[in-house]
Amino acid sequence: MMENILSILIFFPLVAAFVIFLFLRGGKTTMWATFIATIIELILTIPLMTSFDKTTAAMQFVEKADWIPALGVQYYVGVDGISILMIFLTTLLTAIAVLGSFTYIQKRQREFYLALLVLETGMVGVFLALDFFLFYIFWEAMLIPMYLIIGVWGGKRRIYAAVKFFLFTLAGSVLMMLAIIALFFKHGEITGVYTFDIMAITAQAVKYTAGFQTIIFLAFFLGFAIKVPMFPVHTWLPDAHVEAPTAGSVILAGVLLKMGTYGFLRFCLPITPAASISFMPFVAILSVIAIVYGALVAMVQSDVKKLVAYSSVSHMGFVTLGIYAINQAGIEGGILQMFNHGIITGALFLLIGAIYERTHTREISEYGGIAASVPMFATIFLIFTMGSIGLPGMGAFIGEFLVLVGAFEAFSDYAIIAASGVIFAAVYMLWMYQRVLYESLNKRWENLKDMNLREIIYIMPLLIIVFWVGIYPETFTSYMHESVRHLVEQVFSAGVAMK
Amino acid sequence: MMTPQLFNDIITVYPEILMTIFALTLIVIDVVAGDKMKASVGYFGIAFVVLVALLCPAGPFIGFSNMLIWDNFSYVFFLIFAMAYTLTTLGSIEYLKDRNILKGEIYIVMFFSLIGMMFMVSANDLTIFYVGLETMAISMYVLAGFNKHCLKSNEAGVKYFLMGAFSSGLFLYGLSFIYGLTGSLTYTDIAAALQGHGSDSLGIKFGLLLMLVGFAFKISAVPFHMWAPDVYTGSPTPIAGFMTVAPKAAAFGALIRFTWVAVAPASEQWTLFFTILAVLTMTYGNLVALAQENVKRMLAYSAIAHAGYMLIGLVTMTPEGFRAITIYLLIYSFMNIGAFTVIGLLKNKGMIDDERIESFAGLSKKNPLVALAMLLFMFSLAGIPPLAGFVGKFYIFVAAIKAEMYWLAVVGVLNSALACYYYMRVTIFMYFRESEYETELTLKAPAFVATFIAAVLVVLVGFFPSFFVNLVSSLTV
Repeated sequence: MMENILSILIFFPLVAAFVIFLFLRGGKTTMWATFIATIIELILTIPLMTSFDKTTAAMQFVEKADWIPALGVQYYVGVDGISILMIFLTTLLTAIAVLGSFTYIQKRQREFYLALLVLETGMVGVFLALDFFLFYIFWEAMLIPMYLIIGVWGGKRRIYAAVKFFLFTLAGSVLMMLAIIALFFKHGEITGVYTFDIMAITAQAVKYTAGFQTIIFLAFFLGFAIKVPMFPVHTWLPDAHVEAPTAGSVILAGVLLKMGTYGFLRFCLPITPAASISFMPFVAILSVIAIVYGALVAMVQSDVKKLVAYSSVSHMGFVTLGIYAINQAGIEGGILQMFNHGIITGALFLLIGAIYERTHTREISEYGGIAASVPMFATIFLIFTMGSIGLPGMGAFIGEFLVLVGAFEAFSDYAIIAASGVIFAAVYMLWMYQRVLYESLNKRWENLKDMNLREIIYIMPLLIIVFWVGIYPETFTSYMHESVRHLVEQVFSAGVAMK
Repeated sequence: MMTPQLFNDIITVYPEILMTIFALTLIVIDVVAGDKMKASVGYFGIAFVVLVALLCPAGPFIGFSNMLIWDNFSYVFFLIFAMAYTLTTLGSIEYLKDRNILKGEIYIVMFFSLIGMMFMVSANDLTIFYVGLETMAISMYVLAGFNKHCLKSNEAGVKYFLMGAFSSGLFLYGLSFIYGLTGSLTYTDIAAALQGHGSDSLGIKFGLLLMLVGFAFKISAVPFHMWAPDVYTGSPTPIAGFMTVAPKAAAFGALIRFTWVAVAPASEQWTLFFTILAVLTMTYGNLVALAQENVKRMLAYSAIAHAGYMLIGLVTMTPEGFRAITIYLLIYSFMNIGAFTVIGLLKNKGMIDDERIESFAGLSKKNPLVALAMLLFMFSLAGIPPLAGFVGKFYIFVAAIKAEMYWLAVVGVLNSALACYYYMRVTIFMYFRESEYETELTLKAPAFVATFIAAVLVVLVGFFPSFFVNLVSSLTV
């Protein structure tokens, strides 16, 4: 089984969706079947995590087969230290998102859960694909289920949000497709072998001229920056987050945004090293703007979900800043922060979803003092608020710390401004927390029900992981040491060779 | 006594002969079939088309002193026509029944149009091509106006006829210039003459321009598209699907052979012409489609835009470009006809033709399977992976980049991102809106089969394009 583990991980949800579609009719049964499928998928990642060899930067569990031989397209998948945590994050959050939707999704349950399963296949595929064509297929394939999830089960302005999400992402990725085709021919020109093999194309990076690299970098950068999303192409995110159902928000924040930063790591840095080095300050400036701007905008939001959405813009700014420091600490911090952001923001969206189900409002001003009636919720929400701020002892602290260490090494001026983002985060998160949970109790919420068992069950794993990363990050960072070291070397040796 | 030469000639035209015999058989079947059995003409037609596809000789054969060619290229185009015929026939039976115009003729006329198309693609000579073109075109005029009870359909027939005759005239005029100056109508001879005398003479340029304008009319390239939206909208819906696919494929097939074989030496003259057309066609088709509230009309404009994408393949002047067009047409045939089939079956209570986008509202609840199929067609037409439409677009862009026409590829992808919006609108109505008034959509067996085949192909070819790719990968003209 281990030799096909990656294919199983990719296609199990799709097959499950198909089987459920054919044989199960009821909404409730589909719901349970989907939950079981996603749990199995999560369990399948455990052998992957445990038998992963941390001492090498090479791709592992590689599977390769011809797919469209006439065009040099292969079915080629593999996992390394950069992608493995993303796989874990994806399978974990999907299972949790399903459990979190049990009572939230009331209409057309069957289609909702099937869409989630199809989405999961796309997400896992993106992180494992080592063939550009395959990667692009997975990358775009996720758009349709996510579009439906936002558009059918979302809030009042769901159609606007779904279309905006779809068109923004699409506009970014079509240029990426041209870049991929250009790389295909460039690689063919250099080696005589026409292939979409990402590893092979990466291996020739030194031979791509600076001008060519710049064009490719910009095409990729646009696609990934929209997905992250970086300032100024972030405007789809608040709309999508606010309108999406809880599960949609969790997946969107937890996994989809990471695809952008993953793209930087997997493609921009190693394939266009010279361009990446020359664009370092540019990306750093955009990241710093995202950090500060996202935080400032978050501060003035009146909708809890929108506040968390804007905080994502800010937090993802840290990730891109770390990645574009192009050093061990920065990139490791960036990856860890990708993971942390997925866990913490995912949890925050789940909690907001849970309280929304009870109150049917997300307006901060309509809350007040509910800590008294829902103590359990208040405690857990506080923990994740602190996690989001980056309190030592919790995951985000380690991630942000590493990012800032890396950034100081690379560009200290920007790092100083970026560090202010941490302070801003404390301001908007604590202020929000205070307005929602403390102050005088709004009479409407006197009989609010506290979290039930199901909600505690799905929040628990996230709670454990947040502290685990905070207290002993080595469990997670140990996966990436070798891969990141190799990546940094790769970029700099290529960068030097090109000079 | 059959000489080897005669034998060779017969083999070359053998598929057309078979088709003609079958067409005549269909007329007999139509006479024999009772009023309730007219659909059987269509079913027999499908069986015959499949039979011809199986019995076709493997090429290449060149016959009639180099005037006609039967090769893999002709065969692949025949497959496109056959697919279009099969799906359209299946998809149209219910539609025609509901409007009381289910006659055997419609399938016979369609069948005859296929013969014309086959001659167009196999022609290596302008006379043969012209005869094929007219056979196809006259059948199309009849098909466009087939719903004689409907004013719009009448208008479509007349309009198509007038514009078609006009474009034919232009084409013939250009053809006579070429003939006068090169002394031949056979593609290879024209090429030799152009090579020898050069292509700079004004007469040649003028003749070529007129001929290409004639072609541009047939593929509905902007600014020679003005007939298309009205004709497509007015024609019976499933037939409109056929019209956006088969005649266009035939025109493209013939155009490829003509440009590649006959006027390749004059490529400077025509690549610029087609580059301008490609950009105009894509952009204009998409922009106007954006504003349409009628789904059929939207698809009519989008059909224009698709011709624009295919033109990119033509202007690359490479075998990859031509193969990309072929694969695009193969894929386009089933996804577009699938979409037209669904539209054709949508009915508003009290009003039989209902193509407004509002009528799609809430379809995903009333008829989840059809809505899913329509969703697949729409996203496939938009070129979203992993659906088949993406494969087609991908090949076009690969060809463009290979030929280093980067800017054209960029225009193409930006256009396809733009196009996504209007295709999405249909899905928005189907999935996100509640229906405001009563529409119904019931798929009876034949239309269901057509939709099902098209939808399965859209998914399957997206995941496993190898079969189609291999089919075209060795094509030469």
